[in-house]
Amino acid sequence: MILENIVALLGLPRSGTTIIARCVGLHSRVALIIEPYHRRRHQNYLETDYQKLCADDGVEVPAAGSLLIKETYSRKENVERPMLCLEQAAAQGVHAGLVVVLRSPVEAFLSQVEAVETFWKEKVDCNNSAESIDAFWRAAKRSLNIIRTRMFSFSRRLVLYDRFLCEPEQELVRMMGLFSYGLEAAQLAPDPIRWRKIASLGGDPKSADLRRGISAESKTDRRAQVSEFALKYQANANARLMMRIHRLLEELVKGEVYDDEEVANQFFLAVEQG
Amino acid sequence: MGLGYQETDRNAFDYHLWSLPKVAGLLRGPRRWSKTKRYVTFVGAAQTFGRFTETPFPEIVSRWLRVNHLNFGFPGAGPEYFIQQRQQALIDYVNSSAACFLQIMSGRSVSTSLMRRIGYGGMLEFTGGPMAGRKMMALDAYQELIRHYDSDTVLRQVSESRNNWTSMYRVLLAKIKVPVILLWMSKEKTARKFAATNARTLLGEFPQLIDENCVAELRPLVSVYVEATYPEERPQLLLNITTRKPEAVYSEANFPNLPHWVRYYNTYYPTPLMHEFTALSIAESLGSWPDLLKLIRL
Repeated sequence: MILENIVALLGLPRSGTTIIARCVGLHSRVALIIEPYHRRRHQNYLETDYQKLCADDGVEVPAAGSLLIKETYSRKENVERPMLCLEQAAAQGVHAGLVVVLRSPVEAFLSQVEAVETFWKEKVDCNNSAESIDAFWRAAKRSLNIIRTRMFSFSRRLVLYDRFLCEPEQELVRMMGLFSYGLEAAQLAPDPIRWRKIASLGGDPKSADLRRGISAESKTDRRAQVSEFALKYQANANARLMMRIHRLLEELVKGEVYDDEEVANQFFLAVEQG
Repeated sequence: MGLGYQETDRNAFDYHLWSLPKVAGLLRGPRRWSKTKRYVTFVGAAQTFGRFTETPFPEIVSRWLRVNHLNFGFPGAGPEYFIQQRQQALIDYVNSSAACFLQIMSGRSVSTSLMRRIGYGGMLEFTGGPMAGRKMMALDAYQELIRHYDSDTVLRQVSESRNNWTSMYRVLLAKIKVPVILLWMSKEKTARKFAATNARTLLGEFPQLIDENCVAELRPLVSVYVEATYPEERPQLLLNITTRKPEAVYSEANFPNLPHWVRYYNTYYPTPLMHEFTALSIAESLGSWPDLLKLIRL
């Protein structure tokens, strides 16, 4: 298999990683694997050879194509393994890239609580409580530390979820630049058959509905919940940090900061200050 | 157009390509532009785009001016690229900016009575005479022109090329309603000599074919003229973006006829030092125009 690019797309659970990965994966030259490590965590799946990864998932990379691996921060292995995969591929001369999706950790947490209650098949211990917040942020921080220390080895894009919803085409163009591919029309207006196929690879069933489209209205309005969270957990250090990051990401979108390095500097500084 | 460079250069440079609604082509990033903040524009070719440099002169200049910018540098572009109807949105962005830095682009791919431009990748097609129907890169086309056509014909094509180039710049400048800073970026001064000995001496260094008369015709139409003639520099070694080891950007698969050592070097485009020099030349020139500077920085 001759691979042109290998890219890992990482983010918090419930931060838009699936919809973004699907849009990127709709490109005719990109093969997508969704959560290969998280899906097989009970089997302790740790494969980092991209050829074996593709074989294990039954994924065929198009000729002179690229591979996109999507994972979330729910476990540190979910982040460590794709990074190792990238490093090994880069050592073999494959161009490696990283997309880090950033969403308000408060919104992501609240969304996860709702997902556990309503449609996640596997019930995890996550509810609207200080203990759950601490566990959520601990897992996130472990993964973010891995990303922070290793991301400079790769070409990278930091994608703000809220910005992606408002400017999906522009953000997709930026991400496709990592592959040196132009945006294809099908990535924003997929045909139903291709969409169903890519949606069957895994991820949030809510985002499998093609009719939903991508816009600022695509996400649940959680402003009231966020305010309630800030008030209820003001004594919790992790909750306060999550709120600071929430506000930072809002400012980055509002302030139209697009420079990936600037976004990374501000974001990871905020994470470290916690 | 920028995508071609990104594909070839991806192991050595990340050009952070991005797009602007309704503008054809991808822009050199990182994006330093927003709808609501003051900005300047840079219009030109690969030199403005900044191939083989992480910090092209538009980035340096706009940091110094403390304004945002749009880099409308497109590989292979000449004045004709920007006056197409489909680029009206780009012109609109230029006209919403505080000022436009317009690069003096090459004249080697301009159509003449004997050679027709094909696309914007530097290709020409002979439309008459012994080479009629043949298509090739401009340098090769001018070499064939010298070989197969008489000297009067050669000189006439060069003259036509310059006249057409100047006409297209006039059209472009008429479309731009904001202050224009015209930029000469080259290893040679405008007052240079050409000789029809071979294609290289006939065309000269970048911007090919353009002489001091062409520039003199345009100078009255702009607010400021900047001549950035940078000294000759040794070729730039290209390094892998991650490992910092030498990177054969010009791969054997895609460029089979290149000598081995050339694959690792930038021997044509302005080096990072040349970009710094260009930015310095702009800074020095603008320093003499305080009113324009004030207008840009407002």
